[in-house]
Amino acid sequence: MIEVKGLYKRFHDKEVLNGVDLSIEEGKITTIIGQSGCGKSVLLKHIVGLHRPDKGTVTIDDVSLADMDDDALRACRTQFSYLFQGGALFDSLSVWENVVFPLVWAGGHHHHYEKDMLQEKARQTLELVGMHHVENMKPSELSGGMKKRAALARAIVHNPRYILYDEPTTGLDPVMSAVIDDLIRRLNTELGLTSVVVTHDMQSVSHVSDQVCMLYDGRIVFKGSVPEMNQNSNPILKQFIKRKNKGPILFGR
Amino acid sequence: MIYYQAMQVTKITEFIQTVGRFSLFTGRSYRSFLPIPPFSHMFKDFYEISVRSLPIIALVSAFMGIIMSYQLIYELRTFGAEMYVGGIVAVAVCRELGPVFAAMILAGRLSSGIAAELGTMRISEQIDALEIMSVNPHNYLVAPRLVAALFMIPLLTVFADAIAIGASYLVAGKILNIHILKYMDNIRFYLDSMDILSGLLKSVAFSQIIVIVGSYFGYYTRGGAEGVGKSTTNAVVTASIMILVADYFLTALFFGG
Ligand SMILES: Nc1ncnc2c1ncn2[C@@H]1O[C@H](COP(=O)(O)OP(=O)(O)OP(=O)(O)O)[C@@H](O)[C@H]1O
Ligand SMILES: [Mg+2]
Repeated sequence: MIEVKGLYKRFHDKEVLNGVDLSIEEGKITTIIGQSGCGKSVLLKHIVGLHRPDKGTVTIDDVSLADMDDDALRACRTQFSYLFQGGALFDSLSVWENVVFPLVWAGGHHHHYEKDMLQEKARQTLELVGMHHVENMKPSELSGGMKKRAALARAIVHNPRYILYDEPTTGLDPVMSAVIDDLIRRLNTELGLTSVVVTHDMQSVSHVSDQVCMLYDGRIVFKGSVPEMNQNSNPILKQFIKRKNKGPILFGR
Repeated sequence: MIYYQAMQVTKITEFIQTVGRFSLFTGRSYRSFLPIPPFSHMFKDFYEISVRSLPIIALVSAFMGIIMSYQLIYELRTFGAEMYVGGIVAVAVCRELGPVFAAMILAGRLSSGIAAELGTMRISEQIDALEIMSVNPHNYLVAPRLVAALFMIPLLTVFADAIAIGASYLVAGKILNIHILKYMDNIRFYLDSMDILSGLLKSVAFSQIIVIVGSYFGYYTRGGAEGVGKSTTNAVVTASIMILVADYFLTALFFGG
């Protein structure tokens, strides 16, 4: 169980997180919505300890990340998968080597597997995200959306306990977005994974979420299910989901 | 005036911080040495450091040998001592010039390359991705290069020494009409094993400086393409300076007493 309590973070003079409280339920899909630049990616990185909070704690199964040393943190991270917003594929490796990387380096040590077996595994996983015949390409030869999907394949190739997706459907066409949404849902129901999805895509939100959280001004201003979200009268939330340019949310802040 | 002093103080604190961070980075890299990654993972580094560095090292060493022997013959003639050119070249090259020249060239080639690669990995979140997958970036990125450099750079140094001495004979043989065997005898007379050994030990130290400095600047890169450019430049400059400083101390250690 992941619990975030009173998280504060500032970069230079800019306050990004201003007391975020969030608990992520096991076996559910939690989506985090919010404006571009409001700190969604920063929040997600705090959950896996890539950023250290100025104040507040992140606990995983009641152990605070702040209490872990580097080795303990690495051990803890074996439970996680993370889809980076920019994909973060290793550009010195081919696509298939990227996809099976979490298997080959499971637990931080190199494991030896048959190359054929790994390639087959990569092929199957890439198929799940709608990619064919790209195994031997280099990441630099892929389009933006293909990079995203290859990175997604890498995130789901081993069976982690938690998957954090940073904007899994941004930059994808509507059909592919639907396929990915479906995949996220299926991983959750069939394998019982706990997922956190950061997204702007409201259709995606309605399709995948068990719980929706809205981040605004460094805090969680709404938390609830999709029907609750649609009926909520919070003007900030309303403006966001109805795509209005007038309302309490000021752009350019 | 006060402003100026305050600037100085911040600069000094920054410098001390950097030194501290560099030491921590170095410590962490050697502590993360084990388990040594499989050779298939290190092959690329071995290849890059050895085979791809050979041509430039050969070229520079050859010129070094040729120019040295020209200069020396000209000077030694005034004393009628031009027959000693072989011995002097060999001692100078093995003790000092071979290891330092090779290291300087490799600092330009490898420290910059490593800093640019790790820097790009840093800004495109690939190093974060390693962390998330529980892979220690020091073990995955730095250790293989340290191992490859440890074996390959001393070898390259021996190669550089041999080329420089060989090239010096081309000039000496032609101008002075010395037979190669006589030239070799002269070298054997002056060059002892300590000269060669000290040069090799120096190159071992330089090899680690080249990799660690490149990795350090790459690892702590910030701020996009411009940041990568800065890291690359800083890596080359810092590695070169550290090589010269280390050379001074090692020379004092080996020959000072
Ligand atoms: N490493 C950093 N250094 C300085 N500022 C940062 C850093 N990372 C993020 N920020 C700042 O934190 C704020 C939140 O960034 P974040 O990437 O979390 O936004 P986001 O909500 O994910 O936006 P988007 O939806 O566009 O991805 C931004 O204003 C950004 O300028
Ligand atoms: Mg983001």
